[in-house]
Amino acid sequence: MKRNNDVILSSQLAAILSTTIIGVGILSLPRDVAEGVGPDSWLLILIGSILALIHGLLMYCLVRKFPGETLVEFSQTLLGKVLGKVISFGFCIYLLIFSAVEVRVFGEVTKQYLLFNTPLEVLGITLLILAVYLARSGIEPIARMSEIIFPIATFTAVLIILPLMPELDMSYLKPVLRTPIKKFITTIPAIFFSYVGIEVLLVFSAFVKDPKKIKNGVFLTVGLVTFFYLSITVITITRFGLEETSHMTTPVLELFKTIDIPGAFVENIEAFIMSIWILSVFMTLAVIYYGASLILSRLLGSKEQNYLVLPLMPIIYFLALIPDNVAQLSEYMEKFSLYMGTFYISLVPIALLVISGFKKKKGGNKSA
Amino acid sequence: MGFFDDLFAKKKEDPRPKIPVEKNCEKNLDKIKEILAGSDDIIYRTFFVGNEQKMKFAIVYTEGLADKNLVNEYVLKNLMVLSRMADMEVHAFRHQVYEVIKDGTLSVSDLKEIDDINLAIDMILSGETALILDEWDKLLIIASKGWPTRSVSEPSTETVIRGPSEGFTETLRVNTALIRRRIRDPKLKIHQMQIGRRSKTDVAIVYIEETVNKDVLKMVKERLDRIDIDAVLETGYIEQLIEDNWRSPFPQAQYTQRPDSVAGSLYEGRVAILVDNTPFALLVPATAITLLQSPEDYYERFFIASAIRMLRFISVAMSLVLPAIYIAITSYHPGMLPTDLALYVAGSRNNVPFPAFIEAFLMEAALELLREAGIRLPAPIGSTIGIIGGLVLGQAAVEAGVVSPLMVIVVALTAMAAYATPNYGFAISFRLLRFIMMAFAAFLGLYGVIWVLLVILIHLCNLKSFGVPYLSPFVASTTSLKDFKDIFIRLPWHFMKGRPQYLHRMDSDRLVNNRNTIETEEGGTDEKK
Repeated sequence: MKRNNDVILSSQLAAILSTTIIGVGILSLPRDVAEGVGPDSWLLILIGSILALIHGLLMYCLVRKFPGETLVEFSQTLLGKVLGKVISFGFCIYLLIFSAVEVRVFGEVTKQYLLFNTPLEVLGITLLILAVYLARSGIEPIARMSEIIFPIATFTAVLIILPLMPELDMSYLKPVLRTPIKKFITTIPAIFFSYVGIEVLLVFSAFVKDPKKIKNGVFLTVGLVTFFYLSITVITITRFGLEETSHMTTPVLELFKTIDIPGAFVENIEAFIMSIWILSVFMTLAVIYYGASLILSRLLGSKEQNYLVLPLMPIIYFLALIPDNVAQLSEYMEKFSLYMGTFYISLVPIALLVISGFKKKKGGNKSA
Repeated sequence: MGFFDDLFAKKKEDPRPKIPVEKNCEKNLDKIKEILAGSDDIIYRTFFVGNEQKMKFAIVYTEGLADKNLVNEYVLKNLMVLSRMADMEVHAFRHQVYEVIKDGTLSVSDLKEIDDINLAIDMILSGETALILDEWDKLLIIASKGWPTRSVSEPSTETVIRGPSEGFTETLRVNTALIRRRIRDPKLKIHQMQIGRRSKTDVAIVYIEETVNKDVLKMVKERLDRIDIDAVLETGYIEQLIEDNWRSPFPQAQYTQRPDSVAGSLYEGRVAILVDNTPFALLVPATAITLLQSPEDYYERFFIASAIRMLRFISVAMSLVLPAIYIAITSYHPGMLPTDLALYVAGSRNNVPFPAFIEAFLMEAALELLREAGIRLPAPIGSTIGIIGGLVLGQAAVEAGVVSPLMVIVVALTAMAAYATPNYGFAISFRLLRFIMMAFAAFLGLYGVIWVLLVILIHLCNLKSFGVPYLSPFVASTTSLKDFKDIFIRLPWHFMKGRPQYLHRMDSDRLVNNRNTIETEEGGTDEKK
């Protein structure tokens, strides 16, 4: 049988990136921004999106120079063999930890809202099995999955939010622009980290059919995600008010709990919402899992990526079980995103871009 | 068309050695008799030709397969009676007697000359008549196929309210004629081959040269060539031997009994595979969407067609998830229901001794039993089974307290939903998956339902039918937004100017003259000048 020939379109790239970015981060996003900047949350999200866009475009400038290559290959040409391999391996570890976080958060939230008596281990393993199946299938089925799941999830979310409209109180968004700038600056990392996931572009760009169109993919991704974040945050804040929002652990789930569809057969739809959320968490997990296995296979020089998927599963599983409770989990998550996240999301791509700029200049001088 | 010539140029080599035809009628006849020894349905007839009765001829045919009238009236009569009137001593005749027989005496339309006895035997066994002439190293094969056939009747498995009620029959020739009648285009190609070492079943690949997807056609040809099986009795053999993924529960080829359905698919750019001795044709590539379409969708006005199509999508979803959702909600998430309903459900399940999964499993299994028994039983008893089954499944089970009334409703809805799917093979795969989904719903509640749905979705994302993604056009790599005109809804014809993009063919214009141009032409034909 023919293998898939591993080519995706820029629109598919956008679907992959969007489903990757929207994952566990969205649950706590309204709380973080409401805590930080209060009524000016919408402005903060717009600023964050511009930052994410700039960042995405920087990465685009980097990957454009190396069509068909992933981080593993171009980091080695730019930094030398050893350092490049170390950086790539670190990225693989980063993605593995990221996967573990997704699995754990998924387990905790599902246990809290959907299946109260099911052990965390069962939930984690079943989700991982699913992710293994998809990650083994290769890039094209992943692209097709995101393409199908993203519209379904967005459409349902919008549909479900509609009945909330009469209950929203826009006065919670006043006064406008009274927040001190200092607060803005201290909250920016929180919103920036909610765009975590966009860095898989460094790996997935290699498969895009027309590398020039990656730019469109980045624009599309940031646009879609920002729209999603903005509407969710504004709706949560105007529904609950600032005080309430900033005191909830997962305001978005609480928001869905309050939805009462008039005249509907089903009364409490949070189980239904959870199902939609499971879809998006699963996609995030599958994409980063695939990214990790791909990097590892390129590092080891093996052509087949799918054999490496299964051995990674126990690693992710045990990493996911390390935190003892939710409090510890969020503590670890904070540290993880602060150190590794900052390093791989912002420092590595920018550093690589700068180095590639220098190298190009050198090369240009030589040829001239 | 160089491509098409290349594609069909290569002939499969016959593994048997060629037996040359000798110049002696007796010897040839003996050879045929030796090979066909023990078959009493083969008729051998030797006779003499010419006014001097010097030339010995023989004919061989299979009784029942060959048209006896044709052989008697137009072959034997001409050779034995009429040829005597000709003067064989005329110089021209003496040297060209065989040409004269071939071109002037036999009044049948289809004649072939062959020089291999093995080939002749294949022909004899498929209903042709072999004419052995004295002192000539070739045999004449007279097309005399003619056996009792079932007449063209309404297809029993795919009925429509509006549309032709012609269905395929068991004879390949009749079936190709039914298709040809709907496509009077010189570009309609019917490429015939034989598959099966022993059965030598005729298989025809049918396509329209200018709309077909060449990659698919090439794949079909290659895969059919690769088949080496002793017998092909039904299209199912072919389907299973050429499908992309045999592990998949989903059919990767569509079968149909309707010539209009085949013609419609050929116009869309697909390839049809017809097999002799079966009234079913295969259509490839098949995608999830094509399996959910009925020919009637295109005959009805678009409002009705679109509404029915939406209903069909909902029914497929229902047949898959409804019992699973019942299990998940009653055993894990009763809070999802409004309080009154939750209380009612709990109350009605009060006397039921089983957990929801066992209850649902029992009822669904009983339903499948009923269905299977209904198919196997002869028609007059079949309705009895329906009544008994209906009573057992419904009233009696509830009164005995084995199942709750709500469960009966769920089962009935699921059954109806499953039967609303136009393609039986596709419906049955969903029926199978329903049981898996029920089991997972019993373990993991709604998460289990989502889990199985995701597994199915991943599988479908992986699946391809002859290189075309099974979920086309929902996945973008080969499609454009235009394709959605004919998916959930069917837009009126004048909006659908292109053929479906996901089957990527050459000539993409379906409807050129739309309503608007017709109207302007009526108003004034100045634009044309």
